[in-house]
Amino acid sequence: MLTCRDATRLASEALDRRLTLRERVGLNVHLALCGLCRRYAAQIDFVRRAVARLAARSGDLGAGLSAVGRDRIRRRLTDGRVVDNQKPTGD
Amino acid sequence: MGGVPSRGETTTMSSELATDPVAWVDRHGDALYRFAVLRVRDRTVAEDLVQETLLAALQARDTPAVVANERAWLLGILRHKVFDHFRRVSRDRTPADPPTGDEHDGDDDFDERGRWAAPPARWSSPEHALEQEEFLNALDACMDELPARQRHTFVLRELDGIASDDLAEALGTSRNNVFVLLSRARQHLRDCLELHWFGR
Repeated sequence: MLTCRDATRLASEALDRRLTLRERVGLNVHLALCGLCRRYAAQIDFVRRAVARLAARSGDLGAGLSAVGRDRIRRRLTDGRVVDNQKPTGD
Repeated sequence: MGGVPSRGETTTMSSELATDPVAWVDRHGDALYRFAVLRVRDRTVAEDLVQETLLAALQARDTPAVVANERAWLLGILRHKVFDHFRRVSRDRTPADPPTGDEHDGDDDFDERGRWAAPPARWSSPEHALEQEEFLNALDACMDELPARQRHTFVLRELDGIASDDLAEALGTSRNNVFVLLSRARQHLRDCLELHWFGR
């Protein structure tokens, strides 16, 4: 019988790889008998969905390049276009 | 932050401007920045990666005609830059930060016999939380609290869908350690959400 530590670890790995038949059976037997591990497995699955939601939202946020960063990048692109592959001089 | 100037409308005057790299900064700079900062969580590093991306795109500009979707093309380049960044920082580790450091099993939620010592609490209406801005802000803050190596691994896995074999290779560690890092990251985030959101 898996310990709860083993079961939670396997529940996480199930999100990253295909478990072997033996692992799947072991995990399912444990989850059938252990409400806390069932809850944990559902919660880390929720964490995955929440992070996906966070990523989807970040595209809509107003945050962006700083004014300084924007200018710096513009300058570097202009230099890069003129000088092409040469490295810009120090000053 | 502060002092963000109003950018107004981006002026694209004619189709020949469409391949002007300097115009990329106005058209895509903020979107690229948001993509990068979500992953690296550092303003300066994110801006550097955006710059690297646009410079790389500039070098590759012999093929502008085939770029159907400029934004997607640039994001593809940036995705690689982010991946290389994490590869670089994880290989630059000093001996003070041993590769097995994250594997240590002492600080988890279980007792010495592998039973729950800090069992997970029941969460009320998590699906409802997903719709709330404040909840996503709390999750964002929890991501900041992850140990760096766990966060890098987790970000590449969850945001970019990198397979565990590729993660192990890029981060210079074993596949098994990748699973440990991911499991730890999920556990940390779960605990953090319970502490700062569901347990309030």
